[in-house]
Amino acid sequence: MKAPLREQLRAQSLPEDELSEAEQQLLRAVLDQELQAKWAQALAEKGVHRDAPKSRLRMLRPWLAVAATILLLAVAGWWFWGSPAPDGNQLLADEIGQLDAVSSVERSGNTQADSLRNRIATAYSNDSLQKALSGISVFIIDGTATVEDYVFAGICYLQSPEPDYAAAINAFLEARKFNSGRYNDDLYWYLGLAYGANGEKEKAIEELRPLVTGGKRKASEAAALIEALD
Amino acid sequence: MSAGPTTVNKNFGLSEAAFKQLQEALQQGDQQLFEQIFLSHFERCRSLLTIKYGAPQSDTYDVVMWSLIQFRHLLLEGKVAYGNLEAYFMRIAVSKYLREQNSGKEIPTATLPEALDLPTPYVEDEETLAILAKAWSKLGDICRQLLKGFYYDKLDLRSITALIGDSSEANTRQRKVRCIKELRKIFFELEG
Repeated sequence: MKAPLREQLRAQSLPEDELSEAEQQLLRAVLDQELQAKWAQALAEKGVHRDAPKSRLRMLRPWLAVAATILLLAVAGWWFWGSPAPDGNQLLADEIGQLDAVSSVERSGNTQADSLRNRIATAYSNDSLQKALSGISVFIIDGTATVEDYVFAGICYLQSPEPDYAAAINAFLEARKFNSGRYNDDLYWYLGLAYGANGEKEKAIEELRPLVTGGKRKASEAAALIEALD
Repeated sequence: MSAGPTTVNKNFGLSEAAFKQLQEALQQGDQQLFEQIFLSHFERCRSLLTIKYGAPQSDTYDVVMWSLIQFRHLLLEGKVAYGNLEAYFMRIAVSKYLREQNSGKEIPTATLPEALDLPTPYVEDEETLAILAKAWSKLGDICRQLLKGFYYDKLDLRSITALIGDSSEANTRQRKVRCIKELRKIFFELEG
């Protein structure tokens, strides 16, 4: 059975010197597809792809669950003879797990905003990270988000049961744009973790290195992570 | 309170003069500048969708691509004014994203951008589209340039005559009739 649109076109008395409205829309759709294909190619040449490469952590997660049980027994014995060099992914997972977004919640003095931030902090403490992110998005959407809000969002994306490392990176990069002295060093650490978890080793190391060379807080953790990633 | 960093650059880094230049170039069939400016902001727009609305990165590519296509059409039709291009573009993208989500996502609706009346896809019939795409690919180069210039790039007859190297506008007008006839012929042959 023919599609109604084609039946309609065949049945119509089409003008000789113009495409009918329906034909014009069909042609526009075809040319839109052509243009999209052209742009997709141009973007791909710049390294922008439809599907981001899956993070190593995410891909490894099912295996890690199985491997963790086996390793737990094997490593327990090994441990007595000295600690082996820690695995980069494990270190990343441990460090991400230790981040505390609540410490970045800053009250503004605005009663309504502070009330929402309290609820966001409560949601985070109750492990309702999606709810916390929805709350944070209120500030981001209305343009009143602070550096703390972006940091909070980034940590939530990292710690979510379905982590979105790319979103975390974007949130931390937005936070960095504030050039807040209070968060400059922390953002090296957060971005190091986020890039590392996203499988972008070079960028992770690039973020972590200033912490080591500058002898900043987290310098030793950053050094261990660089060694594990390198 | 600090101003949000996303509000700083409201026009994709374009001055008003540069915007007019871009729009004029587009209206003359040259979309190089458009591509240069907007493709360079592609990733940023994806990021904004992700950060502001929790859109998974995997969904944002198609949404931003679709929005760029629509934005190009709006620019061609002179429906976009300089002022806050980024907000306007994001309204297109967000409206598209939310429509695709079918309101299934938990987003604070009170703070959503003003809804945009997005074009509803007229062509839902993928098979017809595929047949037309095939017919289009079989059409001669000159006819494709002519019909694309006329119906897609919205060029005037004089520009199209120059584009295809025709001897006169009258010739181009006659050629257009022949091209339309040829396209229909191939389409209906393929359609069987």
